Amino acid sequence: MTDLLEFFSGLLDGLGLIALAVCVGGIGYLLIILRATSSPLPGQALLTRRALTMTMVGAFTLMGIRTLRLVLKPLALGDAMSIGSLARFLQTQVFWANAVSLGLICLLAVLLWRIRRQPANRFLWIMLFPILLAFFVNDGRLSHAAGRLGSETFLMITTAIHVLGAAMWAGGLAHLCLSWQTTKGDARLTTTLWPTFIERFSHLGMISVALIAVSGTYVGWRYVGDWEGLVGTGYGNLLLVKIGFFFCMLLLARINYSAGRHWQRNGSSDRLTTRVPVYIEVEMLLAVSLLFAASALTALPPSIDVKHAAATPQEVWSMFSPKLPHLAGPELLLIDAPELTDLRTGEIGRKPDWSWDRLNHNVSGVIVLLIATVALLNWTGRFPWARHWPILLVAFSLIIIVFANPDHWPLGSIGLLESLQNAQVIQHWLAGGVVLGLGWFEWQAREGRIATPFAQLVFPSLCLLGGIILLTHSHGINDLKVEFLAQSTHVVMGWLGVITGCARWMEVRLAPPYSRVAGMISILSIMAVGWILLFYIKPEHLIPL
Amino acid sequence: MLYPLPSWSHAVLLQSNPPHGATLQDPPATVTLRFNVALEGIMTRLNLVDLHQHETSLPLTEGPQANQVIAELPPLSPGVYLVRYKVLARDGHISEGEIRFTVLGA
Repeated sequence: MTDLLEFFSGLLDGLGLIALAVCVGGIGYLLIILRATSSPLPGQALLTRRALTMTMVGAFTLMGIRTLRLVLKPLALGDAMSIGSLARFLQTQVFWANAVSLGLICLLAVLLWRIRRQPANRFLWIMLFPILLAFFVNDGRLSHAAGRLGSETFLMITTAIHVLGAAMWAGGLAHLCLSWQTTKGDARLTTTLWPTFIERFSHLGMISVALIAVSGTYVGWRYVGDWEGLVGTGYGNLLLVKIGFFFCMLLLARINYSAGRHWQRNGSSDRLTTRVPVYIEVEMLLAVSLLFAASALTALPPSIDVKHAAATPQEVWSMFSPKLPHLAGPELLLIDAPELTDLRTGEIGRKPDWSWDRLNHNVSGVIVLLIATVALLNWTGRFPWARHWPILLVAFSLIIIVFANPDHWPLGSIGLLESLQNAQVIQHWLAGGVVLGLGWFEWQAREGRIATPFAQLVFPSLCLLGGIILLTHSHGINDLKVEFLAQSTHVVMGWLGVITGCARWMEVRLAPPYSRVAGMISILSIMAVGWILLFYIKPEHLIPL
Repeated sequence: MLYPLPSWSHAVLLQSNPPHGATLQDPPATVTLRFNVALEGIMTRLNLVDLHQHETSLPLTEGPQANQVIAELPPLSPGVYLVRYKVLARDGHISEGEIRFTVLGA
């Protein structure tokens, strides 16, 4: 129960970071890009109003999420809720830090609601700053730094600056997308306002990136300590994932910056109105994934605390290195059996156990590689039959549903009704259902049988969702080396899932030749997932019977 | 039954007395856990579990540091025991886990 509630708390933290970004990034966007209080450009009244609405919605959403989180915490602490445990929770620093933050968010939301009604009232705008400052200072008490032994005020401040920079950038991207949606139908606005916004956003982006990079380097150095910590622990692993997303975003930002410069020099806004909006959408999707990775990171022990259990680079490589896949059947392994302990010597007993884990991963690898290969043939344009590759996903989903739980219905002795009461079985069947929907929808969309323009975006969206869930799920990584090694493969697959989704998104939204390049990146990412699955081993069960 | 579970999430058990997996000639009087982060002591819970899955809540005493937990153990007969813990770190994350030790027969 606690694990489940903490998992939901982790997801809520990710959603909370997104809501914070929409709110804080919105305030920055309104002041720096739209210049709502000083010199708004002609024709941008509607843009300002919409940005204010989204900023306010961000604040109210954050308020709801933080309230829910505050309610979930005592529930997760006591499997059976009681007045006594609630009374104790009210005495903790955790409760008061959360409560003060929640109060400040309420103030912020109300103030934004007032500003939306009176956007010309400068006093209301000025009042935002002390509230935001108090919020970020207080929220530092809920960061990793709060749990360190001894005073870590500087670390808390640096963490707050890091969050501020990320919120400004990610939230600004969301608001830039909103501005594009508002201006794209008006040729006059797309050639005047839109290029100006892109050019201004480049400067805001640079400031945000500087804040993120400088503060992130310091915080990362304090928590990771050395290269071994970066490569050989769950914290370091997820930090590398964040850095990977960060550089992908920087690459897209660089392309957008060049397009803005091109407009300034030549007056041509062609690139700005064709490719740049898509790059901004994808940059935003990457930012969302990055924020979820960041929320998962806060639930992991810093690398410096688990150095004694860090894996070596060679051990990490052994999880990914090419090896003969295990396809012959389940493995017979020896596991600890404390109930068989010899009480005269203290020797812990061991007993045999069938493990389907490696077999399931390796077989999945074969299927995913087959899917990627057929998708690659389709990409060449020379094999018309290969356009049906999503059907393989449907077949894959049926294999998940049937074989993921070999002890249960329909293969095992445990019946359907009893299987429906098992959380793990339900999770596998749900995962199978998602893959089934993924394959069916993509097949129908590629065949043109679904007419809605968003049909083709279902596949990339579900890839992103799957990738994010894999990254968020990785908060279960702990200090044990073998568990980290097993999870390290899933973190990389989560990153690749996000990259697959983003690349497919660009393939759908861009015109050739850019869509072709994006399509290839998407297929290569799926292929990489296939190889990881094919070479997967269970590091904690390497002792054969 | 009685498999050692890793400590989930943020607070990591750095050291325990008795250590995880220890075999002891004499039953210990207390159990001490040391974590990597400061804890909200008021929310800490420690339970003792025996081979028959009987679970007993352990009374806690004040640890000398914010990252330490000390609990008194009842008189133990020979057998395998688990101490299950659930703690709230000062940064708001909940962690739970177990340590296992064996008390030898005469």
